[in-house]
Amino acid sequence: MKIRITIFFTMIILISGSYVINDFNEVSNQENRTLKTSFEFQDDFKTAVLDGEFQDQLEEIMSDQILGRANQMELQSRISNIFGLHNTFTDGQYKYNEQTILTLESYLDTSFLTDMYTQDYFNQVTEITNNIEEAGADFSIYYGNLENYYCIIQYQDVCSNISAQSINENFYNANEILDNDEYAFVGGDHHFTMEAQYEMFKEIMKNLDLGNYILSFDNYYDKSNSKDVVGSRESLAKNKFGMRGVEYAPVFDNGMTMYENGQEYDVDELYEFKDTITSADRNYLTPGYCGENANERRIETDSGQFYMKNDKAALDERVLLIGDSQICGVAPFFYKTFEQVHTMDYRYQKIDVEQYVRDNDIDHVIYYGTKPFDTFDVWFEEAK
Amino acid sequence: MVFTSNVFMFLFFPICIALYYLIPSIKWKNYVLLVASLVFYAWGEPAYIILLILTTLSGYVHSIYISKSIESKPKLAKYLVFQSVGISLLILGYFKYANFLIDNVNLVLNTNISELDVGLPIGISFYTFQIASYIIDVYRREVKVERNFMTMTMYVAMFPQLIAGPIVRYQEIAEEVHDRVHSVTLFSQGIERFILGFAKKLILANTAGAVYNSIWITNGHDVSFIGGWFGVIMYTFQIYFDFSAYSDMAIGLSNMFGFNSFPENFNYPYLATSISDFWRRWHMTLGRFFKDYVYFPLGGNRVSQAKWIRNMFIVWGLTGFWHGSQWNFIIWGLYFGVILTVEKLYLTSFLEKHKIFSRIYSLVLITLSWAIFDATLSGDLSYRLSLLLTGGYITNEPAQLLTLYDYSFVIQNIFFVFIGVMFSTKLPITQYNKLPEWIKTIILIIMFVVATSFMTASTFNPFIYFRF
Repeated sequence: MKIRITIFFTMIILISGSYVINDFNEVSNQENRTLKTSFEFQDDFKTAVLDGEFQDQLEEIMSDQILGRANQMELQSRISNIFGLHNTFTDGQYKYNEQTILTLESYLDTSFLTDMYTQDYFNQVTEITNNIEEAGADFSIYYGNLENYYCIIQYQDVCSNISAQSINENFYNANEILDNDEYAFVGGDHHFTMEAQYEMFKEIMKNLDLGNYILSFDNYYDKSNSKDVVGSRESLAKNKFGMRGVEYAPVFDNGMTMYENGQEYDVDELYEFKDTITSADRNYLTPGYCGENANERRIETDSGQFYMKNDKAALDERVLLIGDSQICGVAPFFYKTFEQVHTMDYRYQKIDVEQYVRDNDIDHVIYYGTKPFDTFDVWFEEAK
Repeated sequence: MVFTSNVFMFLFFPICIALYYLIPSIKWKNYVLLVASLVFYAWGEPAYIILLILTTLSGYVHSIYISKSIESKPKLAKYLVFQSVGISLLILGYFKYANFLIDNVNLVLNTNISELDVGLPIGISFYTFQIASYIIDVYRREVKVERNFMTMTMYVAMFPQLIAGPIVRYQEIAEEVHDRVHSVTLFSQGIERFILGFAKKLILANTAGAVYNSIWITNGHDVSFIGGWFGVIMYTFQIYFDFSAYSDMAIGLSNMFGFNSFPENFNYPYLATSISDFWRRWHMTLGRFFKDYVYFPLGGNRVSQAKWIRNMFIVWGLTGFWHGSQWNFIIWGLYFGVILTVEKLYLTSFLEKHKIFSRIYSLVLITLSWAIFDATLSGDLSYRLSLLLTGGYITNEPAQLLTLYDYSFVIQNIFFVFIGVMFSTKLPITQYNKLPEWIKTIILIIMFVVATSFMTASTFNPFIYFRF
């Protein structure tokens, strides 16, 4: 019993003492954020104590500077994985190492979502929509072949808010299209699986009257070409536990080139492991982000704007995918058919779409995104 | 301050325990405990510390005069009891129920009375009840009056139980307040109980809570039928692990401070074979309070059937209302009132004969009760009941059987259900108790390290019963 007491207090004193004797860590590489190191009161100390500001900040400093924080987080993650425990709030808070593969990104964490999908974002999207509507009227003059504005959104009928303004209304609800065993997202993440993306791609192609150009799934994503370091850690984990996951890598033919920020992209890099930047860290992202948070196999770039060029494409047409990270997953399906597949993560790339369409001779613009919250309906309404 | 925070675990607690054991006399140890408790309480809400002290002072002064007049002026003593309990309830009513009353008056009379700008002081439901129980016990001569105000404040404010119980009656710890034995065995037992609660809260309760929140609270779309039930099952685990963990930690800490008579608050409630049995196992100190101070004084069951039914509904209405100033809590209390009345009138012998059925019956009704309990948003209650009982056909659009969104949570956390069921039984602790002490110590160390890692990593760490 004395041993138990001794060990218990040794552990506590060790951690308590570390606050005194250790230099404070200023940055957490694991969490990709600046750690709290000192007090910053708005008012004097007395007021800060009475307001609870001092207490809050002390809690924050101690939490950030606890001995072995990074290791503790890793331990928590590993234990969660072993026991199959999933905490959607905590799992998304920090980066997982390569071995810690069972992630459950919290797209329910509204703080990160509101960072990503700001009201301004929806205002901008709606503005594009309006432009396209206007452009649609003048379309034959400026853009030649631009015909449809597609909107595919997972959850709710917000699509109608957008697509109703396009020339031809095309709305697909993923939940209705997909069968139960073709779930649109895996393990709490909101990204479509590749199978789901494929279904969506087929719907788009059919509505572009390009159904004849749809190839079998294996032409786009190769199950045998699966590499553990690319894609969803969660999917890999699901595979590990014998559950259905996403295990395919994109197929790139000879003649296909990918460009990121105007520079040719090394396709081999697609297969390199990229650190997960989690929901909690989104605010550290620089503009131009697209899909670095890999939760399924898709194009992995740091750029919100990339395009793929395929000299051997079936058609001499170009497509622009506007939206969020979903476009990273669906883009590879298009390059077999289209000469150029452009993407624009409109959360971060506020490019003049009208100008872009004109400059790049785009034939089809497709809005392709996510709308997981009712709030966005309100924003859309306000934006309209 | 919460037990599962770095500030408590690695700053407050070691300093407090060191000061406590450095000081030799019980009297001064009590002062250390008092100051520590006030700091603990003031940590988040410095303003309400005054309220706590004034409420205690009111109870203290009344108790002195009650004890003085109880022989010579019994009517005055009785009046003082009503006055003291009335003051406690008035304070509780003002801070907890005033806005509820205003809202309902506005609704019924179509008036436009402004809500009061008052927050709910943490733990007010617990400490006002403790003071009330003390006053009544003094009047009933079940406990000697405490003449030292500091000691009485220490009893009311003692930080292990201040915020979320158990509701400790003064007579239970009166002797230990003045004279208690500190032993290595008790201290070690306290560490063990604390770590078990600490791990239960951080690993089990928080995980279950996060899944429940994902499905029911932060969900951006309609809940599916299966998802809804799964979410409520997770909440069933969360509320038990959360609240019982707090009681475990409170009892463990009290042991470390030499108290060995804090009452148990839980006794494997989900093993209940009836709803009556459940309430003998769940939040036992609250049930005891209402039984001793409301139900029995009203006549209990030794009255006509009509009065007994009245008594049942008063007690269960109050039990619900104690939990919060919202209709869902009152409905939740009355829900149990109805079930217990029916059970006692018609089902007792049937349930005793059919054990398997009785367990299923109890679990289903208990689980459904938690859906009511946490339906705090406007319109949420009817939505929840409609979804869970009719698949949404009565009041809402028919729900999907299982949405893709809910599926992901169900499939990923299905294993947790087994863990939850296992830790709701006596099996883990029975097996643990069979182990040699050195293995237990290793297990405790591992649990502490793992739970600390969960604490460090977690930003989702609420105690459900803090809001009561």
